[in-house]
Amino acid sequence: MGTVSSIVGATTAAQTRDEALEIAVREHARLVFRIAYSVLRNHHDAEDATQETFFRVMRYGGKISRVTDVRSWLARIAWRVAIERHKKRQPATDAAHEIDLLRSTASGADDILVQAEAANALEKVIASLPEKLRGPLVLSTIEEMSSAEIAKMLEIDEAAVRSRVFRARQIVIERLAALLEINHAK
Amino acid sequence: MRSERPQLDDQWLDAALRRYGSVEPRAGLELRVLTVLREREAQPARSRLWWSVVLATGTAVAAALVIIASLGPPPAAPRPRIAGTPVIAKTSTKRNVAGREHPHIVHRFANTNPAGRASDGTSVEPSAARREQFPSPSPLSEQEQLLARYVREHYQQAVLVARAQVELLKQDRLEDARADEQRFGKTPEQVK
Repeated sequence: MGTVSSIVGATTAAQTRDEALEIAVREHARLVFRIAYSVLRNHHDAEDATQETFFRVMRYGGKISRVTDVRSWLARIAWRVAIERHKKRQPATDAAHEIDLLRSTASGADDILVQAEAANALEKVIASLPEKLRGPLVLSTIEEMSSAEIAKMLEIDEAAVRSRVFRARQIVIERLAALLEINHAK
Repeated sequence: MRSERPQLDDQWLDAALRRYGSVEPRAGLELRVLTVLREREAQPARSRLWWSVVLATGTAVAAALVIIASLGPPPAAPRPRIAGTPVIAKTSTKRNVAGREHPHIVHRFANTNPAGRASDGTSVEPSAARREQFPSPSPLSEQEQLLARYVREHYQQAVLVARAQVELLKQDRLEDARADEQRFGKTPEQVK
C-alpha cells in the first residue's frame, strides 16, 4: 500500500510540476524572451535562451510549485542564461573599442532615415556601456519590469538601480550626441 | 537635402528606449517552448531504455561465454605413473630464492595431509591420480577369486596347505638335484 501511495504521490507531483511549468511558459515566455533579447539583441538567440531558461526550470523538478514569485524567479534565470550566452558568443570588449568601431562604421549618407540611424546608434552606444550600467538600463526598457523587480534580479537595492539607470542615460545621450555630430559633420 | 539631427533630450531618449525594448517574439513562442521541453523530457527516458538494453545484452553475452567456457573440452587426463616412482612436487619461486635450487622430491605416499596440500605450502596432486599403476592390474581370474575367497574364509587351513605345498616343492627340488648328480656327477650348485 505504501508503494502504491508513493507512486500515486509521485505521479501527482509530476502532474503538478508539468502543469506549473506549462502555466509558467504560457504566462511568462514573452517576458523571458524580452529579457533574453535585451542582452542578446537577436531573435534566434533570444528564443534559444528562452527555451534554455524553461529547460533549467524543468530540471529543477518540483521546485517551481514551491516558488512564491515565479515571475521574478524566471526573470533571474533568464537573465543569467542570456548573460552566459552573451559571454560565450563574443568576448568582452571595452567601451572605447566599441566607440571606435561605431565611429568607423557610422553612415553619413543623407538617404538614411534619421530615426533608423539614431536607433542603430543607440544600439551601439548601449552595447558600449559598462555591464554595471547596461544591465539596469536594458532591463528598464522592458515595460513589464519595475525598479523593484530589476533590483531583485540584479541583487542590488532599488536606489542603486535608479542611480545606475540615470547615469547610463546620461552617458547614452552624451555619446549619441557626439556620434550624431560626427555623422552630420561628414 | 540633408536630414536634420534629432533633438537629443530625455523625451527623445524615452521614446528611443521604449522602441529599443519593445520587441515581440515570433508568434507561437509558447507552443515551441513547450514542444521542445516535452522532447527533452522524453530524451532521458529513451536514453535510460537504451542503456538498460545494452546492459542486459552485455550480461547475457557474458553469461553465455561463462557457460561455453565451463562446457568446453575436459582438462587433460593426468599422466599415468609407474607404481613406486617418486613424485616431484611443485616448488614456489620463494623456495628457489631461498636457496633451494632443485625441486623438492617427495615420495608419493609421503603426503599424509588429507587436504592434499603439503605442510610446507607446496601443492600436491590428488592422491587418487597418483595411485594409478602402469600397467593397470588386470581383474582376478575365476580360479584366483575362488582361491582368495578360500583363504579369507579358511585362513588356518590355507596356511597349512601352503606350508605343505612349500615342503612338497622342496622335496621335489631335492629329488631333482639328486637325480642330476647321479646323471652328471655334479652337485646341484655346480649344475647351476
